[in-house]
Amino acid sequence: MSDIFQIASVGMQQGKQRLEAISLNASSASQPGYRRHVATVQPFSAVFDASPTAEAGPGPALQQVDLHPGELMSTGHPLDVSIDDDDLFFALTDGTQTWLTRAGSFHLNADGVLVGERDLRVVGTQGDVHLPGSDVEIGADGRITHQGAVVGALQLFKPNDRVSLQAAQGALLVAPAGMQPTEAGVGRVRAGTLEASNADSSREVLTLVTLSRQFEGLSRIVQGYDEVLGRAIQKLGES
Amino acid sequence: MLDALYISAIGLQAQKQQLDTVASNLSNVNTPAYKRQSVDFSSVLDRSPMGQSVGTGTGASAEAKPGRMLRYDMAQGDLHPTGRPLDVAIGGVGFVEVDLPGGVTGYSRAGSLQVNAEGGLSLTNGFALKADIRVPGNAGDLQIQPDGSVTATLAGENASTVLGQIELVSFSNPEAMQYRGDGLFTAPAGSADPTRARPGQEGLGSLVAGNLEGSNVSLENEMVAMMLMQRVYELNSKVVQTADELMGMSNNLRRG
Repeated sequence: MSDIFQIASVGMQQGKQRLEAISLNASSASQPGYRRHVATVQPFSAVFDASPTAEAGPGPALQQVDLHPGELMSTGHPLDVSIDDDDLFFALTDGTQTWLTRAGSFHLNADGVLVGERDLRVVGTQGDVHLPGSDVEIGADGRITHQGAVVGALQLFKPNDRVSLQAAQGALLVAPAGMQPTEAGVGRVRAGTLEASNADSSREVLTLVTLSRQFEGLSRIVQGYDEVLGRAIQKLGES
Repeated sequence: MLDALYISAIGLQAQKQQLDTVASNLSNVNTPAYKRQSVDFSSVLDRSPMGQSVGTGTGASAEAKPGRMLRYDMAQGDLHPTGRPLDVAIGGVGFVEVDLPGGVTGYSRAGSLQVNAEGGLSLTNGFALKADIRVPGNAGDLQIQPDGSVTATLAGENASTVLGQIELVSFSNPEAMQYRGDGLFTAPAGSADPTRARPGQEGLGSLVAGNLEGSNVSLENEMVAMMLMQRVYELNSKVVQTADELMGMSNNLRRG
């Protein structure tokens, strides 16, 4: 008899997860290189069957990412880089884990190493990229020159399975299926430009509206069913 | 639902900080040698510790980092002639060193100089230049040459005398410098010593007397940024509103 409550609860929890994805997209709408999070919509029957008890509800939703490219913004900053090819990514590493990202808003840390978001080190063709200063030029082939001399090169990566990319913190992405460095000459970069976030405010607001109505409907179902139950119990007592 | 509220709150906060920097950029659009600021978004939006495992969804712990990280756009501003011989712009890379209270060295590009009461050169905001230059009271025709030497014609002489030398310094990573207002930057703690040389040497810019460097703020870009952040702020506030509504609905499931 409590099936209806459970159905409504699954629906409401999924709504909550979708709301979380929207809130992330909204708060990152002006973060360069951010890729929209999309809360995975699992088939209802799968969620329902997977939860043996009414309390369990759906597990943590996978946040998938919308890899649609964002617009290019010109910044004029020499260490801002965007990638022309939509399938390629920069890699950032903390030494143990490597993330992919489209956010090419780099700077130098105190040791003169090129770092990206969260001070993660940018992976170059020769590992970490050590630069003599920030007055460098980045060529279309990713080579970094300082006063005419090549001091390093950016390495672009292609994920083995683009579809399975998952969202991590901020504009970072995780490639569970691994990735391959591209050969020199494949993919071009543009220095002095950044790729904007691909969050789309009209889409987010539209989802927000449908979500709040769906939630409202579910809450009415719970209330209505509660009322029906209450009446039934009352009638039982009368007879 | 609480997560959505917290995350949107950080989104609102980030836009507000961005707006603060735009306000500061716009109010300094006519300040000589002002360098445009921008907020490093990833430092504001840092939500939870690193090393999150794959597939656990988004970071649930929403914590904004204390203090914002600002980026300075060190691009050269346009040079404007002022006709005042002691206005000096730096055409290219480099900073002039000044003494700040507490033994701190400040770095400035705003080269509007004056002779202070002790006969030394200082910026118009009162901070004395590190370069040891004494201008005698009877000196006339004080001039600053492109290579940084300061010359004047002393009373009773026809030829000009070199009084001293202004040197410039440059940092390998000027973007990491900290701005402390009044056109002054300080070097971040633990940074390597700057390169010091005469203007025009070792990649440093030369001095242009009679000119001041304008700010590198572009009104158009700031305007577009401002409109964008206004709308993103609005979007975040809608998410907050919806999250609040949904929470209200679920709290009201139990009637009576």
